[in-house]
Amino acid sequence: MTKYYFTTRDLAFIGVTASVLVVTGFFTGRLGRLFVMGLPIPGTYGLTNGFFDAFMGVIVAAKIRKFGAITLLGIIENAIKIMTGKPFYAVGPAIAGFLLADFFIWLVRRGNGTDFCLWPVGGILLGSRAIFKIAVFYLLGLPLLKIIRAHPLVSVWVILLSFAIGTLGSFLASQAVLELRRAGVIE
Amino acid sequence: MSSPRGLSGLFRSRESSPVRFLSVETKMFHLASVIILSFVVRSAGCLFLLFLSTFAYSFFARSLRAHFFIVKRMIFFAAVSVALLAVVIREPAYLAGTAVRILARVFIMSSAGILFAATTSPTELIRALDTLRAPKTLIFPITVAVRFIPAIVRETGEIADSLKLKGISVGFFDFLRHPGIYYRAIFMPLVIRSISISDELAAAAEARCFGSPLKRTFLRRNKVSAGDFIFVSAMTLFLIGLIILDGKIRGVF
Repeated sequence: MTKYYFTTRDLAFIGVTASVLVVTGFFTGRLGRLFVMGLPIPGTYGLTNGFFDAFMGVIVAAKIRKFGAITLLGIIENAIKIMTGKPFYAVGPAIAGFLLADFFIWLVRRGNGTDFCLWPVGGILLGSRAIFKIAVFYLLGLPLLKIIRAHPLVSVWVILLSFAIGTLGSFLASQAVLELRRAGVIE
Repeated sequence: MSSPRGLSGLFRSRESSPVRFLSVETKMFHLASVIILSFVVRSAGCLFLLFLSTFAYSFFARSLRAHFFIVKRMIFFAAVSVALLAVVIREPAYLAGTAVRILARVFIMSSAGILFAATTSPTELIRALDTLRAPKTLIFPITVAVRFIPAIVRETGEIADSLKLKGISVGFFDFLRHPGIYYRAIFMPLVIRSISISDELAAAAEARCFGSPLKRTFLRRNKVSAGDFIFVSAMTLFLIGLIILDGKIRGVF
């Protein structure tokens, strides 16, 4: 048998988690679309379904204690979302956010931090994603920038809100991990 | 909140549709070219033409039902968004110009994606990814994720039904009033079910020698047919024509 870095169990869990995120994204994405199309501000789409990304990201990080687990989750989730119509410019920032969160988890693990120390993961994931998305909009010169240029504080609010929602999601997830571990669902 | 059961219509091959003769690689070409073109093309007329082409493709693919399931919701949200824009930004020129183009792009990208998902079965997708030499670390979770979307939808429905038996309503307004119910009664059981499903799946995959160093074989292979060449040629001509038309409208050519 070829030895893979991720075991079959890890890959299966990442796959199932990605499908949960696609389904929750379908629910919440509509609300996100209302923000994106109604108030064309980059980074707002992630405010609605980002909570679940942060939550499931921490669950995956707690179950699969390997560097790259939640980056792979982000890649799989975005690969499926691009097949169901996610704009391509939003994929890069999303995966970059997962990668940064993975680095944070790696640092926590190196410092012998417990799973409870993972509560800022969601904030890092969503906050950095919002920053990257706004940066991509600047780089591509997309038309929504007119609003950001007129009201620059809007971007700051979007980033702060993303950070807060992500932190809430990962804080709840870190609590849930404790419950799941007590129940014997996670080793 | 409406049921996500319409999602189950995605990632299924329509056996009776003419699109089944197209290879997944050709469908991927269509998806990528439409997404890229929706950004290259800027005039509203050409964006409308591009949307019409995805609509025609959907008609031939016999996936109008799956398409409309999502598009009708998008139309509703687009209408609300435009109304919101009209209140927030009182600029008719912006509404008629930029906002319409943004909405058209979102429609086109989503339509192309939905069409790909509605006309491609997971098995075809795996075969295509294997042909494109994608790493196994990516193929396996993508396969699992695509295959389990209907299962997760079914699980969510069953959890919601069990709550209804207990007299707990799980509508959209209930969510707004008591978001904690969703977390405790729907999301946490879903997480626990996901963990147990993935454990069972991993055991089944390992029993079938997943991870074997030998090259994977398939009963059927994706073959590039004459229909693919005709579709790709027609699509390329259409794309070039659209770029030229867009350039002429904008005065670039």
